[in-house]
Amino acid sequence: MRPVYLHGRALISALGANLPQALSCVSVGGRAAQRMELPGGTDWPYFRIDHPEPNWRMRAQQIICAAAKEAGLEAIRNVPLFVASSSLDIGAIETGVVRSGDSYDFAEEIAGWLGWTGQVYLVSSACTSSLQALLSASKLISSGWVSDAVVLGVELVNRYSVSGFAAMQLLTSDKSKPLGLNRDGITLGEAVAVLHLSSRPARWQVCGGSHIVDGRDPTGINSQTVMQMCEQALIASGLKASDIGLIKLQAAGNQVNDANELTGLIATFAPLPPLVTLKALIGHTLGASGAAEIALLTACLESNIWPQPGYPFDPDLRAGLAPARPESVRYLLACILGFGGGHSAVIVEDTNARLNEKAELRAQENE
Amino acid sequence: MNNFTWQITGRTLAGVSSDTALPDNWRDQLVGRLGYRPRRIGILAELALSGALNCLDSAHETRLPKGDVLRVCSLRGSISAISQVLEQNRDDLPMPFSFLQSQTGQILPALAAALNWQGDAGVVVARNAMNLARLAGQQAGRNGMLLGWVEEVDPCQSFWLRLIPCTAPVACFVLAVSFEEMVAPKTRFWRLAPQGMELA
Repeated sequence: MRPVYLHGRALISALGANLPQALSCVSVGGRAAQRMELPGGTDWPYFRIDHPEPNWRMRAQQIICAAAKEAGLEAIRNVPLFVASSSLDIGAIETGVVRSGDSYDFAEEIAGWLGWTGQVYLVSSACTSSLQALLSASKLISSGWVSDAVVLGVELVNRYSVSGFAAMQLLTSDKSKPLGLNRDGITLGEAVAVLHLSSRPARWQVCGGSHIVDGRDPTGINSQTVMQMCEQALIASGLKASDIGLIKLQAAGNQVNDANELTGLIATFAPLPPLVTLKALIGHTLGASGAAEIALLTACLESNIWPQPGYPFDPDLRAGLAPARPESVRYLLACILGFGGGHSAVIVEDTNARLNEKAELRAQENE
Repeated sequence: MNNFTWQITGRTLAGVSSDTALPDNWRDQLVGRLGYRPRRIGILAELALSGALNCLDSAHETRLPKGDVLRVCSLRGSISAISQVLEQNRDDLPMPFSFLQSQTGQILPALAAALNWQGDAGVVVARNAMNLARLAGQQAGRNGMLLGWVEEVDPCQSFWLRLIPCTAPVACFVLAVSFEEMVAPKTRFWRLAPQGMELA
């Protein structure tokens, strides 16, 4: 099996128009969500990308092309592209633009904007879409079918998702507090994220992962399945639970799902490694969330900038979020769980930490 | 890179051509097959269930093995539920079940529950079905596959293939040039090759 590395990345989110802007925003505590007003007179917090273009499709094109540029995709347009999205271009349809063909048209349109000549796949498996895309792209590279592949997570503004989640009583009316005391719901957000995977060595290596669909609960998290997901991801990566130095949670602020996720993790990891979640900063970006959160987390780890939740944690959960960047993280596990019974995880290694560990071992041997 | 080989052990061609149109009573047949009426999962998921279960029946399998890969392609997705949600959303919040049904990914838990199975399932869409079949093979590796193409309209279809891993038979494999050729009744084996999928 060939190793797979994260060779390029990009994120455009409510935190800013690129990753440096996002880090700068995280370092000052993030940004408050805007409000989205819905028919019927309700309004909900929503992490919106600050971009002035009023036309939905032109805005989408500008944001997606900017993300591709940030990730340095100009030179590799002939490799497989996995477009991962839950809501696709439904925001354009809401503005009165009639979709002439089908949902794949949006993926083809994006490929046209980017001048893409490689195969284009659309992954639309709800919240786990971009993590599933990442696992698929990794498999293509590790099996030797291709040398590079790109995951593009796209979740752009629309009322459809917000109203649907509101109808299911999953949204908070105020501020989402993942793992927080009195947490009462999640906040959605938009993001465009790029992960360029390659067989060429880079700092972050994708070790393996798992994706399990569980039909027992089509909208939520099952703690037993979280355990199975972690076990399969560890096996696929050739690691044991104690190797994991950081877990990026799905945790979005839902009363039951946060608890179920923690129950599964506590049963797998004893003791629990430090925990982090990014949804209080950018919202739950649905199909883009896996790619968006991996892009942001790896950037945070590199720059030593760390999200500060700023609210008390629920003592019943027996765990809280890490208050600062853990001193040394070699392997991190990133989870995305949610709609459609999807439970996905990927394990990523910081190869710099691997080198540091080796250097320390050598130094100890020399003493 | 391995030349994995699969045998096609089951297929349902519902809606692929005018000769294979879904019977008018396909929903009643699904109820009979499941032993209960599926509730609130939407027409796309019902179509998927109907095709997938018939496909497994034709493969003489009662359940899907744990490590197998399940992939569903739907170019139009849950179009009727999406339209309903957009309509409801003009004046107020949509009905919760309408919203759930409008998520094409909800096919997956419906299938997982009906098959009493947990595993690697996804909605992956490409216009070129050959590319999609090849990608599924690259993902499945040594495992089997259950592949479905499901549409509510134009035409209404639930076309499924069941492939199980096997050792390559002594046969003359040729590179597939069309998806029709890949799924033709005379095609019994798929073999993954660097240039594409080979058939025998």
